[in-house]
Amino acid sequence: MDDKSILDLFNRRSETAITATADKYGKYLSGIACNILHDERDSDECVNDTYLRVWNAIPPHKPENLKTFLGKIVRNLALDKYKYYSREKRYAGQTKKAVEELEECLPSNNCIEQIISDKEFADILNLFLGNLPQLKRKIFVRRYWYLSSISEIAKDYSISESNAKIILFRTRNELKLFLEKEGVI
Amino acid sequence: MMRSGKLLKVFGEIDEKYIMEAETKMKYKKKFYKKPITLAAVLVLCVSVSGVIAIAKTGMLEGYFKDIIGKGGAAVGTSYENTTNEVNINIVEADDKLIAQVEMLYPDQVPYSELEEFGIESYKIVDEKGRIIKKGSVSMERIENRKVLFNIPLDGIPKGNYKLIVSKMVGGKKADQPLSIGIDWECEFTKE
Repeated sequence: MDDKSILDLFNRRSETAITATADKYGKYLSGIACNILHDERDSDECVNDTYLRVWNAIPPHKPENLKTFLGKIVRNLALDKYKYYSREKRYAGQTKKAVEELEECLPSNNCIEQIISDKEFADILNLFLGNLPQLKRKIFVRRYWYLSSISEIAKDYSISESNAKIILFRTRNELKLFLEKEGVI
Repeated sequence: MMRSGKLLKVFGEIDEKYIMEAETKMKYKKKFYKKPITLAAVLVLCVSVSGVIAIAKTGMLEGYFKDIIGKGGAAVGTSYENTTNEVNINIVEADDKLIAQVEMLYPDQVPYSELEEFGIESYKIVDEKGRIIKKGSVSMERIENRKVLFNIPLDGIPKGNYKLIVSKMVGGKKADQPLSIGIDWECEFTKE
């Protein structure tokens, strides 16, 4: 079923909208949640919560791209769950590593929030990503948006793991410089 | 202070075209990560429950088959118990009813692989004080792609906060006796 038909079902408050969404995007959403949480049950919970969020959001919301709309919701829900449970040291894996990697881009005593909103910061990130060569950008987004493992990224882009790590390392350094240049940090 | 965890979250708001662009080579295979504590709980459960006549053979399932004992002490049927983590139930409220989506998490495993239909044998709706406002069952519906949708009517129930409690489900297959499925599931909702 195409996205337009699924959105029509949501707008008509038809319950088949949820099954149609699950059929089309269930694997995509599970993949994102699993990358972050590394736990099947918690991931399933996030995916189901995503369906509920979408059911409550549409209407009135009219997403231009249903797939990324769903992806953003499940990613946020999974990160919230990750944050909550990581206090109990329940999760390890890629998310923890990715968080640690991103720490390199931020000085320990920065106060970004006080001077810049999330939206403005996202705009700056978009500017940065827009200036990157395509392969670098894809790898960077795979790592920090999809939270994919280095081995998965290396395999999917037919490069060695050490090459993937170097690309990510250099891109993080470029991001740090870019944030400094933009006066964000 | 913006910490890296927050940066990761803000990263979620990047332009959709970059998200789509990076997604093209992704392969979605479900990863199975089991927490050791969960596996330990399953093992303890499997050896401690009395009256168990057959433990699901897969090792992944926590459910078990149990004899239903009649008045004379003889087994009169079989039920399947402890399925809370094998079935996902998801509800949304819409137009004076609850829409419940029940999803079998292990559709390839017995008993789920044998079922063609699924129903709610026993549910109740309680208010904030724990008073039963409504109880009932929902007849079996055909399983489509490991999921079933049910409507639980809320007519006659005033606005307020409630809890839906599902304690028994039922599975069916043509020409077979329905299989009673024990579950311990509840969810709060607000009727508006």
